Amino acid sequence: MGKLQKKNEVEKTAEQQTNESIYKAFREVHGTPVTRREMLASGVIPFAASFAMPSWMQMFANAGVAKAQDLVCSKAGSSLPAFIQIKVNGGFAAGMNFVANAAGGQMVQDFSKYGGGSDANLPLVTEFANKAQFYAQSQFLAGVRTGVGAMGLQTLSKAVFFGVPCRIGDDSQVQKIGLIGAVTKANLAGQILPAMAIEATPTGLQATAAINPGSEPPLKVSRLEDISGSLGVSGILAGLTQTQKEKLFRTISSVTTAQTASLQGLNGAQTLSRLIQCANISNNGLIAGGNSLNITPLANAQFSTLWGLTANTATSAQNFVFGSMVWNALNGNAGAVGLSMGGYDYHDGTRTSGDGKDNALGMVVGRTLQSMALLQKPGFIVVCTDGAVSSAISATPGQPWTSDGGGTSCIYAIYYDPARNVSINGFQVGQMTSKGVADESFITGGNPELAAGAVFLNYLAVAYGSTAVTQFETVAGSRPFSPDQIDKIKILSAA
Amino acid sequence: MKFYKLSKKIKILAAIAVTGTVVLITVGNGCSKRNAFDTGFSSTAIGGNASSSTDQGEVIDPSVKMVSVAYAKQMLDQVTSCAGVKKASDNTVRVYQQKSGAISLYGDAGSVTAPMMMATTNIVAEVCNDLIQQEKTMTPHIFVNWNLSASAASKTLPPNADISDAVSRLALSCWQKAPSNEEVNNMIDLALTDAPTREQSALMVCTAVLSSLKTLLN
Repeated sequence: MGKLQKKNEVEKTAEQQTNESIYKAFREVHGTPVTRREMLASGVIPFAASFAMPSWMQMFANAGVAKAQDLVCSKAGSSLPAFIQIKVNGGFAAGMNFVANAAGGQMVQDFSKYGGGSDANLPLVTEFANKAQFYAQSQFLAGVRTGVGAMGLQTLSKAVFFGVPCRIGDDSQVQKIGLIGAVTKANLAGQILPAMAIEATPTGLQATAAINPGSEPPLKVSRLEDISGSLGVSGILAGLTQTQKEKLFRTISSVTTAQTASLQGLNGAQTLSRLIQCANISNNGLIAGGNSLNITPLANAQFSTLWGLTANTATSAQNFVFGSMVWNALNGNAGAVGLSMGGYDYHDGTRTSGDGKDNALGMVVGRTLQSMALLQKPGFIVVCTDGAVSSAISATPGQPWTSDGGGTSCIYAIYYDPARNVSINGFQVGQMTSKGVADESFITGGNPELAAGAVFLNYLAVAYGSTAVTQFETVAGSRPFSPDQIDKIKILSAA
Repeated sequence: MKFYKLSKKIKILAAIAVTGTVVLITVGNGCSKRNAFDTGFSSTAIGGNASSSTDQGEVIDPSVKMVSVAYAKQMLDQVTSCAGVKKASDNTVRVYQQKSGAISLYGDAGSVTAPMMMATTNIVAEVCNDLIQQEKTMTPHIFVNWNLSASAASKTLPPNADISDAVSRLALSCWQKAPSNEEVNNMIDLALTDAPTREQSALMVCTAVLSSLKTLLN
């Protein structure tokens, strides 16, 4: 033991010994350095070496602090497109707002059981840059157009839309279509907030995870204060002075850093040590930053107007909650966002109830799209549901919804990019049968998780470009799609 | 004789190994996947690979304990219990309910986030306030000689020895170990920050001890 200690001392260079003495002096006065600035000040990171990570890590180790690499926090935030998944609970008329084609791009001949009548009678319109096909009376599309507002037509002409027809179980909360975990695993991270969602479920949605469950549920948000409350002090701590708050968090950070040494050798110790220290560093910065966080959408007048927000709007109102989550996702504060909308099991013998709900959904999608345009940020929206609806058989479109109809369900995806050229091959992944249900002969037609996987792969295509498939397989931990299947389901790219 | 001793040692080591294995199998090491997160993706996979690492890529040694932190449902109980607070106040429960959404649902090592630590610190502070209020009306067991009930506005702080004593009592209760000199000095330094009242001083010390890693470990 003594020999080993002596050998180590002999091997230290003069520079290392100097750094060690500076470090010891710093530690006596200021405690264990935690932040990059403190490391620089302590000599743990020589300024000249601050851009050469292995060098300063070695010096850190030589200074007697084990596991220096544990302190290398991941880069805050990411430049990936924002990801917003909207789960519509109950099974909306996903197959009769967007109208997918049958194999070979042929029009579906018979929608008579699904509220669309015969192909000859079904009026269609197109929207978005890739001229996606919608039922002319689609209240979802009407809502999107209203939601983007007067200036939004330009936004729609720049966004692309595609649908993935899939048979999805009706009124089920366990469909494997939740993508928040997978997207988080693909490194979509917020600068100061994790992924956020309305639902307090493992996936943040009333759904089971697809592809990858992620490590943790998203932060549950039911009002703006849930966001601000996770970023600052409140209650009894609010009575401390700013200096006291800053010192408190620095002390917690310093004491915790020293205590992580006792974990070494245990499973998960490196991970826990790194994350807890990084979390403390982040919180130190938040406390020191005071009220400078840009987390409320009221900070932007145009954004507030778009979402109908004023200073008097209740912070728990749906518009305020959705607007706040979208705001923080787009400005990089937060990771992926999961929104939920209820009441979509609307087959009550009328078309009125369903149209109203579809319009409300479209409004949220439209506002989200226009938010991207306002802030000039790229973003990916996914709309999914559990099932769909059906009508009495009729050759005339627009029949009342009378029952469930999960065979005609569909997952929607919309991408907006203000800066890059986006190209898309068509407007659907997979196809319908001639009878108006999702075609199970296509890989995604009968498996909701694979349908969600196809959507995820296209998100990765615009986020990662040529390495999208590799990234997909890393997140999935497997290869669910063969190369020829990938050719068919990866239809989106941006450059 | 030597052979006998060696054989005895081997037997002891073997017994420890077997016992340890049984304990691990019985109790588990906390790294099993949760059902709620399981996906059926593998059933459709063309290829796959078994993983023996954490979500963060850290290799798992099945013979070693898995570290974890207090999760949402046990957080309040854990800090209330170790602080010796008889009953969390309504205000503390309210703050806990407001903040618990940010706390890890399962306490995985890879689940720690900045909002989680912030929420934890806020909850812990309320528990500490409960402790302070309790110590005002009962014989103090943490802030002994602090005389917290004397005057809320009093800025005459207790001597360092009494601050050190409170830190030691909190640490022994919540860390299950005595604090190091460095930890005590850190806490004394904190307790004196920006001319605090006695209550503020007690609040900061308590919150720092109870928000640190040793307290939060599961």
